[in-house]
Amino acid sequence: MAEESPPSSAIFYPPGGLLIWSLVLMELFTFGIAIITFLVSGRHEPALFHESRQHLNPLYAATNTVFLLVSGYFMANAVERFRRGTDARRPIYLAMTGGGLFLILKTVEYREKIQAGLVLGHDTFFTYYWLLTGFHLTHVLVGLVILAFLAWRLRPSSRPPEAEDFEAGAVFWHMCDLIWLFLFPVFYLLS
Amino acid sequence: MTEKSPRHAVTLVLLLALTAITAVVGASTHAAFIILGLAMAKILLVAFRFMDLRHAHLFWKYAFVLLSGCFLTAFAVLAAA
Repeated sequence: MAEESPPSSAIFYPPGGLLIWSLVLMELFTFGIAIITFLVSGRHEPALFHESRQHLNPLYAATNTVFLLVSGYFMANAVERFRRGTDARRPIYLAMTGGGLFLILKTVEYREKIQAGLVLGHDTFFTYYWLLTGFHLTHVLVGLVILAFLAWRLRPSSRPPEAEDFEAGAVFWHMCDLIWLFLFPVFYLLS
Repeated sequence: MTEKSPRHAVTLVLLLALTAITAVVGASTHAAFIILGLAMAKILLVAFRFMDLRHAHLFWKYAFVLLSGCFLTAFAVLAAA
């Protein structure tokens, strides 16, 4: 049975711990400010931003949203199973599959952009596009490593992770969803 | 197959439905506000249901809602202006 985590209603013990929630707020703040600068730049070059946005594929982005949301669902199930003391590895693997599919589709999207010459520095829009989606992709990669580590620690022969560590790993993974839910409408849907 | 929480399944269905709705409102008059309003709904669902923010102290709930709400409002205002 997993060790009980501290009561999450206490101010210093949000689910997953103080550190990870401080990180979540800082990440949202960082991406939020970056998106505001992107939108302000768009007001200075509206024609360029409108034209550049036509090169993005909203269907890829919507599909990637679905991958991340379904992945988050499996991770939430993994946390529930972990708290109940049952094997949480299978939902973690399913969550990782969602993350893996996100990576594959993002790679396809990036490849198309590179082949079209829409690389970092091509114009202001694509500089923001590469920096922000690339920074998000880095978070997804780190999240996948964390999930792999959690699954590895849940092997029958291993000592299971602390409840707060497990929850913190899950919160990090969900944070990737949150950041994407910021980026998706701003880059792909708003005109 | 893994045991699944019906509560999380309902949340997932809502999230997918909101994503689908987002795709069909793209051409409406107040698209920016609608799209970012739907994004806010999805962000709150993920945070409160999947991330268990509903069990956290009020400080964290307010901090999260205020931060994400302020940013999405700013995005909508800048995009619509």
